Parts: sequence; C-alpha cells; structure tokens
Amino acid sequence: MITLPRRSAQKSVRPEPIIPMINVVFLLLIFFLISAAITPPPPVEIRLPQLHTSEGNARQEMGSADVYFTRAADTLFEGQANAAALSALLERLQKAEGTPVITLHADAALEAAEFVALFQALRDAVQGARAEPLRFELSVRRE
Amino acid sequence: MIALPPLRRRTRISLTPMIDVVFLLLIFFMLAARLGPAAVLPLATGSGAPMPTDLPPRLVELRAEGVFLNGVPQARLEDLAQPDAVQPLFAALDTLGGRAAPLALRPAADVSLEALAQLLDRLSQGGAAHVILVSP
Repeated sequence: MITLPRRSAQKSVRPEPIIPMINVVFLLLIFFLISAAITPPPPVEIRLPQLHTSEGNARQEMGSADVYFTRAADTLFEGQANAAALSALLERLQKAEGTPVITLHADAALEAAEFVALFQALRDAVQGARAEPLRFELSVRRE
Repeated sequence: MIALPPLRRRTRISLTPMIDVVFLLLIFFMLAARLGPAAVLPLATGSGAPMPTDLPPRLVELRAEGVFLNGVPQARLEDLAQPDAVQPLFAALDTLGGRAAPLALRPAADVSLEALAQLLDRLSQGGAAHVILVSP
C-alpha cells in the first residue's frame, strides 16, 4: 500500500506564498548589480573649482572622456600619464561615435596659466582625430 | 510498502536577515553613488569657422591684482564672488563697440584655476559670446 500525503483541503484560502516573490526580487537585484556601471573614482584627489553661481550647464554623460589635470600639472587619462595619456585619449577618440565631449577635471589650486598650457597641449594632441570639432568642458562645483 | 512522510507545514522565513542584507546593499550604493548632476563650464576652442563678428578681439588679463581690459583695471579678484563684479568690464566693452567682441583671456602666472573658472563663469553669464584662452 502506498500512502500519499493528504492534500490540504483549505489550500485555496491560504495567502500567496512570499518566497517566490523574494526569489524574483533577488534575481532582479543581482541582475542590476551586475549590469550597472559604477562611476570610477578619480585617480587622484582633485578639488574642483568652486563657482559662486548656481545655474549653468549640467554634464552630458554621453560619450564623454574624463581627463584629469593634477595639482602637479600632470595629465591623467585611464591610468596613463602625460604623453601616454594623450595617445590613449587619441586612440579612444578615433573609436568614439557621435560628438565626443572631453571633460577636464582640473584641480582648483593649479595655476591658471599651467591649465591653459595643459589644455592647449591636449587640444593640439587630439586635433584632427575627428572631422567634426571636439567639445571640451571644465568640471566645476556650483553653490 | 512505501510510506511517504506527511508534508510538513512550511515554516515562515524570518524577514529580519533579508532586511539586513537589503540595508547593507542600500548603504553600499548610497556610498558608491555620486549624487547630483555634475556641473561643467563649456570651453570654447577654435573650430576653424570665421568669427561671426568683425569686431577686433579685446585683451582681458587675469592677474593677482584683478581683471584688466586692455590694460585697464576693471575688477578685483576677491570681488568675483559678487554677482555684479564684472559689470564695469562689460560697461567698458560696450563703450568699445559691444560685448560681442571676442575676448582673449590671458591669465598671469600667479592666478589659480579657480579664479579663472569664476571669471569664465561670470563672462558667460554676462553674455560674452567668444572667450579664447591665451597662454601668457
């Protein structure tokens, strides 16, 4: 004789099981955890210039390359420094689609004249990488 | 004879460990996220196109003593925090023929990037259309 367990007669009045829902929620959570791109932290400590106005342009994330100018007047891009950074940036721009934006993160304590010199060196290095003109923007803090 | 055990009633899972994990994840993302849209200043570069104005460029110098237009002092650096700090500069530009003239902005060696960014911001808010950064 085979005895099978008796099914509960009041199954239809039980509340919805919560464990499958938790399973799905955790699957979604893990999916988003894996697929999310977390913004990489700056390679060095950079204090951005503080402005006294509250309104202005907001950053466009699409197709931007982050270049860092340190207080010691070094150019950093994707783990490379100075000349290697410029050639890595050039390589990246040649592969980029659309109008790439180069976002400069420069230390506020950098001398303005040094910043202009670094900016011009960067511009000269990447000029001609693309047919359309590149767009540059300076990362700042606003009040 | 096979006697299967009767189905045990499922014990309710406790919510507290799940809430612990969710709060840990929440705190992780709160710490890892960068809040707020990052603010930027657009930097104009020569695009090769001719200037849409035939006004000659004006020389704006940023020195430790202040902001100079064609060698004439217009504003002090510490006043750049004030909203009307560059009004004298724009008034002088208007007497010279208009603020549509391209501005060649030349920072001196002993001025910080912060002051340059503040001046660029004030100039773009005041309606200066073409600011060209010039190295000293």
